[in-house]
Amino acid sequence: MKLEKLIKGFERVIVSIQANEFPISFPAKFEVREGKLMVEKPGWLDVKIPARACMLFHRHNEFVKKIRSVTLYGILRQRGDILEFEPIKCYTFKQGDLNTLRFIISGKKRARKFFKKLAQSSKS
Amino acid sequence: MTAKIPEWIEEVFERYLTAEFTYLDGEMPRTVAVLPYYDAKKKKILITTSPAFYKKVGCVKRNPKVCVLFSNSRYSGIGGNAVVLVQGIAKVNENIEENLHYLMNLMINYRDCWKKRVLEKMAEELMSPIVKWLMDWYVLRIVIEVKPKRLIFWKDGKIENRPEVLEVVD
Repeated sequence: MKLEKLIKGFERVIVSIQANEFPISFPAKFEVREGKLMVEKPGWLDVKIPARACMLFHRHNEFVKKIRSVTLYGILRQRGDILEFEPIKCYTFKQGDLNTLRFIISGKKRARKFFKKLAQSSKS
Repeated sequence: MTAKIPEWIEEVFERYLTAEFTYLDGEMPRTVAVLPYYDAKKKKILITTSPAFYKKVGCVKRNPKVCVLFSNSRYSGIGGNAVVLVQGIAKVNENIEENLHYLMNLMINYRDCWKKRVLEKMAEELMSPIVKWLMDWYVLRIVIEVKPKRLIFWKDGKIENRPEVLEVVD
């Protein structure tokens, strides 16, 4: 799916990069150009670039329902004052109907696997 | 500058409905939207997760240097658009029973705000028999406690400007 379509309706993105010691995150406005995400580089940002980065788009209502999120993993490069993000992997989630059912089933399976592993490790 | 956590920032921790939690998976930062709690006595931000998402917990245990971004004042009742980034050290508590009691007590004594009502509503929903059966795995929570080390913030929310920075003392 095209990046523009994936992130349609979102007004900002959370940019996360590994800085010197801790990771750093900040909200930013964005633009899409030729399949890449463009974010203005804040003047105070002092990190080594190119770097691996995560871009999170998310929203919800006042009850933290109607959740929609898009997470992109990729490489961040600098072009002048602009940070250019090239997505490599993408995960999307939209709460409701089949997606919620999938979330529940997958959660149940994963949790069962976790407790099975835990029981095995406590036996040995 | 070294200081205690300012009161207005503690209020942000308590009242902002959601935040963005970032941990490292090797060199890759991974960010998830979370509904964090704040323990004002311990001065720690609490991120909770189900054992179903244990990969996140494993990453945090390997590298406890994380950050939590409070960037959205919507539904918080706090005027303005303050943005606060917390860089801190995470500690994982996997004792699920202990966590359940801890979080319940924390919620009972939580500052009266919209977030408290949302948390109470969620807890109520999880009590209905059908939801209980479907979401039993979700109710079990692993707690990731984040002890703030550095606060990077924009009180006016103007992220393009140089932020204020506070190194946190115990």
